[in-house]
Amino acid sequence: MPNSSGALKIDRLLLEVPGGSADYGKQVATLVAAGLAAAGTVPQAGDLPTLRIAVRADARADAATIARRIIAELLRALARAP
Amino acid sequence: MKRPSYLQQIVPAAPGRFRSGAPLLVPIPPLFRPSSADLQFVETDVVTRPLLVRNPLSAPQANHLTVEAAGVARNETREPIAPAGARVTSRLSPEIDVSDAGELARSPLISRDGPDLMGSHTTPASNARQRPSDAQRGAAVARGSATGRIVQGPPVPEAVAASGAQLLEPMSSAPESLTPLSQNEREPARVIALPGAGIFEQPTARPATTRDEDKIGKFAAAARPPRLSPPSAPSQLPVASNRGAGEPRSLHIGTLEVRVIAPPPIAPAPAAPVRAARRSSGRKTGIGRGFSVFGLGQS
Repeated sequence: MPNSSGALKIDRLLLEVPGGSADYGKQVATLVAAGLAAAGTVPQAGDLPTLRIAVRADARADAATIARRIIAELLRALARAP
Repeated sequence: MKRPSYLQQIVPAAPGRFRSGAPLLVPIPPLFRPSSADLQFVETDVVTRPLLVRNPLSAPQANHLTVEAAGVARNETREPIAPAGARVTSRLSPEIDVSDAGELARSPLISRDGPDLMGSHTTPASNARQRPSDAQRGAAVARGSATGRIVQGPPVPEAVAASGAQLLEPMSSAPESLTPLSQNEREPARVIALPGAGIFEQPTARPATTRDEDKIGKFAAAARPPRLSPPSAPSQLPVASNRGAGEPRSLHIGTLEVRVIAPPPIAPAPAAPVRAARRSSGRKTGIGRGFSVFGLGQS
């Protein structure tokens, strides 16, 4: 997943959405990748083997909303990470 | 016999004793003891100053004045060797003006026409007989040997002795400048003012000597502030960053685990307790226990 000023590469994305289907999961993952690409510079550079985040959202919400929340939480986690 | 008065009876006969004769303990007045704030010692330093002479004359004549001053300064012997119109500085007194005969007579150290404090046999007649002329006085002063009691000063050149009288005349002119005549540190501080000098002038500063420079250097070395060095660069902590000069920032995430947590179901707000219908007013509920209305229910 290339970045505009740098590069953000995610080898594997595990998405756990309780009560959602696989298609719903794929849709959310695609939206997350697109959102990270559009986010611009990532707040951190380096190599992170594993990054776990948790997003509180309603499983019944649409995929775009969940994707936005995942992106925002991911950027906050990267900003907090040393 | 007269009886003692009442006061005489009650006042003890001996001071410091009661009537019973017991010694009266009087607190001893505290002795003066210097506190810690007082000086425990006094360090004195002898400061020497070069001899300064207000000299209106030229340089060679200034040397002559030095010699003359050295001879006159021996007035500790109380010999009337100073010529009239000369201002004499002795070692004991800071300055004595002998230009006035009246003041000279009142001077305790120099006896010109007055009584000799040292007990010499000089009388006014003998003084008049022994009083030399100005030229003779100048020569005697220049020689520094007016009498045997005069303490010998530094050696006097013959030329000065010969022209001693001539030197006295220009001394009466107004002074113009200060000329250091002696740089010897061991020379005691003396200031010789010539006639016409208004005030006693004394040099306020002395030239720094080698010893002073050593002291200054020692104190300067002791008071030298510690040398400040710029702080060392903070240690570089290992960070997961591979930032390079021109290398773009890159982040690699091996596994991103995203877990969507469903918010807890919002429980419906508990229904507000339905307020009981307002009871009808009146005394249906009766009066509370303990209360009573006079005249009601008290039948």
